[in-house]
Amino acid sequence: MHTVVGRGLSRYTCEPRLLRDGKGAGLTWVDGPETSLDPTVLRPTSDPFATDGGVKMLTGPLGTAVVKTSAVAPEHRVVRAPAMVFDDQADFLAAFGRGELDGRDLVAVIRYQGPAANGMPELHKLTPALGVLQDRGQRVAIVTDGRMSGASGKVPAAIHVTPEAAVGGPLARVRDGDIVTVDASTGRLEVAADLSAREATGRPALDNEWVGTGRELFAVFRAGIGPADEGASVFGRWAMTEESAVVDA
Amino acid sequence: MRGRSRWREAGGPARCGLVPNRTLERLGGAVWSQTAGPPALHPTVAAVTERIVERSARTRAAYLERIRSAAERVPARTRLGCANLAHGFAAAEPEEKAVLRRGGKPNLAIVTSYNDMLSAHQPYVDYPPVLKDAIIRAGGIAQVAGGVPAMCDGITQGRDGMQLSLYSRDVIAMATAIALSHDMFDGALMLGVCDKIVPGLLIGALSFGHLPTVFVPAGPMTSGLPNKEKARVRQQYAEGLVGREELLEAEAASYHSRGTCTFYGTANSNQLLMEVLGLHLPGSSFVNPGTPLRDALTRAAAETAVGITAQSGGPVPVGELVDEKAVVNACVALLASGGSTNHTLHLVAIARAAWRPAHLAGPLRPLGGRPAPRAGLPQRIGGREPLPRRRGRGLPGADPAGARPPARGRAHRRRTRALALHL
Repeated sequence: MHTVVGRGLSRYTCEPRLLRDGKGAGLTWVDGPETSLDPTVLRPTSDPFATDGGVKMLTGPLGTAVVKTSAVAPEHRVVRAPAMVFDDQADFLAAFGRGELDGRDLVAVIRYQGPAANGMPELHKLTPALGVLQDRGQRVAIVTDGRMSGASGKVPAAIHVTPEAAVGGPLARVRDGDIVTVDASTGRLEVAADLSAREATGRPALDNEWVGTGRELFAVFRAGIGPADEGASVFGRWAMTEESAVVDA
Repeated sequence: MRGRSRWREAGGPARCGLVPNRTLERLGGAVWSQTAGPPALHPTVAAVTERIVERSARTRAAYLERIRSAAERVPARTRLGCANLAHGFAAAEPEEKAVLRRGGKPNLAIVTSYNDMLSAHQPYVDYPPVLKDAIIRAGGIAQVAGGVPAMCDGITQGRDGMQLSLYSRDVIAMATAIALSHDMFDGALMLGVCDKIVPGLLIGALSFGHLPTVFVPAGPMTSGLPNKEKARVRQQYAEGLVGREELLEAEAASYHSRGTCTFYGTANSNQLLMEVLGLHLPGSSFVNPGTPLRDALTRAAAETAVGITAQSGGPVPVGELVDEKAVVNACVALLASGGSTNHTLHLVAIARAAWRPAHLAGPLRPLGGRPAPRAGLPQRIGGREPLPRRRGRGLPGADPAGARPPARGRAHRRRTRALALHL
């Protein structure tokens, strides 16, 4: 491979320094350290934090999802619990505030948060609340077609669920009480219910309901965006015909 | 062979790269000088890479053909009509105007995402004059081609504005294209750090894949409150154990100055990926803003950008650089470092921009099994292992052709074994 400073990545093991000589300070590159300066941050490959994925894919009848396991303790990587379904993170936080989530195991299904629904927001506000429940000994997990960013934390979160609820994905047919399994060790995202016979419930906001913070200007994005597992990009759709031909060939 | 470009075929001293400039001279002695050469590529990584090459051959070839034909037309401004060109340099200083009239020297586009809302982007306020000065000294000329929007997910977290965040990546790509659409440029410098901005700038840059392009970071803020302590106070607030004043105190101690936020989220994952993709200067990501070293690196980035233009002898177009190996390297680095889940979206979107059009999910199917159902990233490349060496030494995909042949030393065996462990 090539880089802006030449061939191969070897130069990227170097670190820049300003070294003084007779003519003043000059930029130079020196060899980086051979070993980690802080093994609590960076580990040698002979003694890694984990030998398997920090980011894993989940698949199953609810779709495909991504889960970040690196900050989730091993005992929390499999959660099997009744679903509590919310179509808005504010509804979830309100239920938490009213104490409705106390004393029970639950998989918080936060849906209609995908790219075509509302731009796939990050849902960080969920993490502190669910962290509280987890610390009290409840089994909790998140399943959402939204995002959580790099700091999803200690609660297992099946995110980027595709296909998203807003385009008829299975999440739209999940109901309160369905037993949902988030299994980050086997890579499965299960629901113990036959969704095929059910009608979808809930819906994203319609275009004429978007008001405020400029969101009404982005209708063309909501209408044109591709699915999360294809990059959630508005630049994909035009290309689908040729692309499918190539990939399926 | 598909994928070999003119600049690769041009050959040259492999040890120092193809492009003579001062930055390369400074870096020249560093090639595998410490250890026994690049580690062997893990067979699974090699096979995944090969599968991408194979399955996306047509789309990648179509993309490369497009950018190579665009490259043959540069420098575009010599073909601009006189009225167009006069518009293009109307605001330039007289001596810059003379250069732009004559042609010959490379004109670099600066695309900036400066604003005061993002602490990571605020330092860019000073960059254009510094970059222009360094570029002129290096024998080029530069214009701020355009600004792109940039929004902070930290400020909009949990609020309505967050619903524009992901869309903003594609807006930034489009804004980058608008900046470069003036057709006046021989290369580009991209100024951005945060979550959507770097992927957006790169997607936009890949639409102008014939242009040599260097990404210029601004660096992180210094450490504030430890992240565990911040998370503890947030949770106490959620439980009603502490008030808003205590919470604000903790947050303000965490996010306390200019520079990138100090946790390994999407912005800092961006920084790692730009190094692994070879679009930053080595080791330039994590140098604090406002330091002499940061300033020297910014100037060196400008100089490097001049050095890789066609006028300097060997163009290094960004579209050639972001190839199959580079994308696989980025996936490995993201997973090995426990980086942001947002990049399971962005890397796919970036790759699509360099494979006209491309379906990364198809090419990156796990090997030997059933096709993954529309997978964004390969399951088999899973691991939170640290990089074999700091900042990517030994990352698979590093082309061994330009370096010393691997000796079978202890360090080599250790790295090879480690890769075998998790792949």
